[in-house]
Formats: sequence, structure tokens, C-alpha cells
Amino acid sequence: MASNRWLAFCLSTIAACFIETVAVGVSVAPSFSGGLMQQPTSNYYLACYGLAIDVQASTFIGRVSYTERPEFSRNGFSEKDGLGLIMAGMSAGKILKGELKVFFGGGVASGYVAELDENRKKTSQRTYQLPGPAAAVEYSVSLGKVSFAINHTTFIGYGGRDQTAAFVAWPYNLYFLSTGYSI
Amino acid sequence: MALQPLFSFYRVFNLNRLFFILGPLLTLCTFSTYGIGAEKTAYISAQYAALAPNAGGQTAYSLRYAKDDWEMGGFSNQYLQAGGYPLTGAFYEKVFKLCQKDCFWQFNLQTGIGLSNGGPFTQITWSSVIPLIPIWLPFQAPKYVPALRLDMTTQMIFIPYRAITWSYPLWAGISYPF
Repeated sequence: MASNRWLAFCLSTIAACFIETVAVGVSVAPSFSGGLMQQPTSNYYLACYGLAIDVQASTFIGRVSYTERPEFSRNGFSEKDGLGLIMAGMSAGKILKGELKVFFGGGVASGYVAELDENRKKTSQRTYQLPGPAAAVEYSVSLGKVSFAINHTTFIGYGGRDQTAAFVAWPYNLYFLSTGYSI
Repeated sequence: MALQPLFSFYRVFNLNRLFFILGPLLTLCTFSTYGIGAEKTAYISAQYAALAPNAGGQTAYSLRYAKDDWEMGGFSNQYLQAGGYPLTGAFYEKVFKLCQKDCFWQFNLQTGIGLSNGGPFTQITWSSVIPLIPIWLPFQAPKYVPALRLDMTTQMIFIPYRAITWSYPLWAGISYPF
């Protein structure tokens, strides 16, 4: 239920920003990314890949992204994470030939942890969805319509009122390179 | 529990009571905010505890001094150990002011480097300074009034052959502008 409310809030915010930007000229830039995700329970860095779509008008950037960490198996368990985010961004300044951009928003981390038997077949599986806020910093360089960027994203997963009362939160860290094309 | 006082507002927060108290204060203090928004301000901040992916959170002290577009300070994380001692270090950060002069919540991106007993590290901080009397909208927080400091910090610590990322999802403390 909490994740639905959070998603509705993010969607309505982005929709409002999008409607506002239509009148001033919009560019759309899909991008692909690859990098590392640090999952909070295991603390391993694992490979991840993702897709994002930026909608930019003037200095405002709206971004919808999905990053997936493929299944990883170890010690009789397998797990997988996906992180869907909706963010709003802006430029924080020019550095050398590139631009430093910052993004804020939120989304949901979802995934599963499965128990494996000796034949590596799943015997039980637990799924989870964690809503939460996210912040990202990105340094990007544009060559015409093509852009290259290095990004760090932090997502703070909210585990519910009981967990917050116990001072527990679930931080996901992403480090990735991306390339995009402005349409 | 040691962290209980710091986060107890989470349980006792009452919106009606808040507005009842803030109404008169809003009227009184709005007048005092004019003319101070353009002044340069330095900050001393002290942080005490943060949430963590473990029950009980993490006790992590920091003491910081910020001015213009930089901040420096030291920290000691009682939850993480390096060589049998709490992870302790000093850092310097470049501050990118995202919403500084005209925002009720001053919000910055900070990127920096540091040295610790666990090894050298890089650090990214999303810092926010929130006046404890929330009446300065849309002006800068006034000087000499303590403010709540809430950070989201990620450190990448470089140890031999490995790097470790550790996060402080909500690092709480007090900031004093002067």
C-alpha cells in the first residue's frame, strides 16, 4: 500500500512537470547504461544494466529509469534486484567540457531471494518491494546528439514503520556508465 | 537505547500541535528575515547517528566546518571497525549549492576525498540544513539559530585490493550558522 502511494506521488509530480515543459520545447533522450550495483544485504558489487529516458526542457530534466541486477547465486541462495526510478533533475554547473547534473526523485526496488537445493532448483522464494527516495549525480559530456555519462545513484529503501522505528533503512548504491542519444 | 532521543520526534509528531505553536512564531519571525538572505554564512555542524541496514542504526559522529563552497571535518563511525578501532577519518568536500539563498531547506551536493584508518576514501553527500523554526520560507536560514542537519552520505573506502561502499542513509545532527 505504501509503495502505491509513493508511486502515485512520483507519477503525479512528474506528470505535472512534464505538462509544464511541453510549452517550452522538449527533447527526448533514451540512454543505455551498464555498471555496478551494491546490494545492501550482501554488500557485494554486482553487474547491472539499465535503460533510461530523459525528457529535457530548458534546464529541467525528467528521467524515468529501470536498472536490473541479474540473478546471482551463492551459498544455496539466489537473488535478483530491479530498481525503477522517476526523477527530476537540473544542471549543477559546467566542469571542463562536461556538465554536472543532479537528480532527485523516488521509486521502488523489487526483487527476490530464493533458496536452492543441491541441484540448484528453487525450493522457496521470498519477494520484496521497497519504496523510497533517490538522489543521483551525473557528469555528462555531449558530442553533438550523443552523450556519455558517469553516474552515481543512491536509493534509500523504506522497509516499513517497524523497521524505521528500529532505525533500519536499505541503501542501494549504483555506479554506472551510460550513453544516450538526443532525439 | 542511545539513539532513542534523537529520533523520538518520529513517534510524538503531532501536526495540530505543530501548527498551533508555529502560527504565532511565523508572524513574529517573518519580519526578522528580511535583509539577511544575501549575507555569507559559515556553518559548524555536528552529527550523531544515522539509519543503517541493521537494527539499531549506526552511531557515527562527525564535526564539520563549512564556508563558501567547501566543507571539511572529521568523523568516527562506532559501528564499523578498522584494525580493531572505530572507522575514523577526516575529509574535504567541494560544495555545489543546489538551493542555498532562497530556499527554506538549504540543499547541497558535496563531493570530496578523505583519509581514514581504513584507508583513503571518496565521499558523496547530499546535505540539507533545515531551520528548526520553519518560518523562513522562502528566505535563507537565519544566522545564530541552530538548524537540523540531515545528510545522505555514501563513502567508498579503498583498502588493499578492494573498495568498500558504506552509506549513511539519514545522518542526523545540528548545524549552527554564523
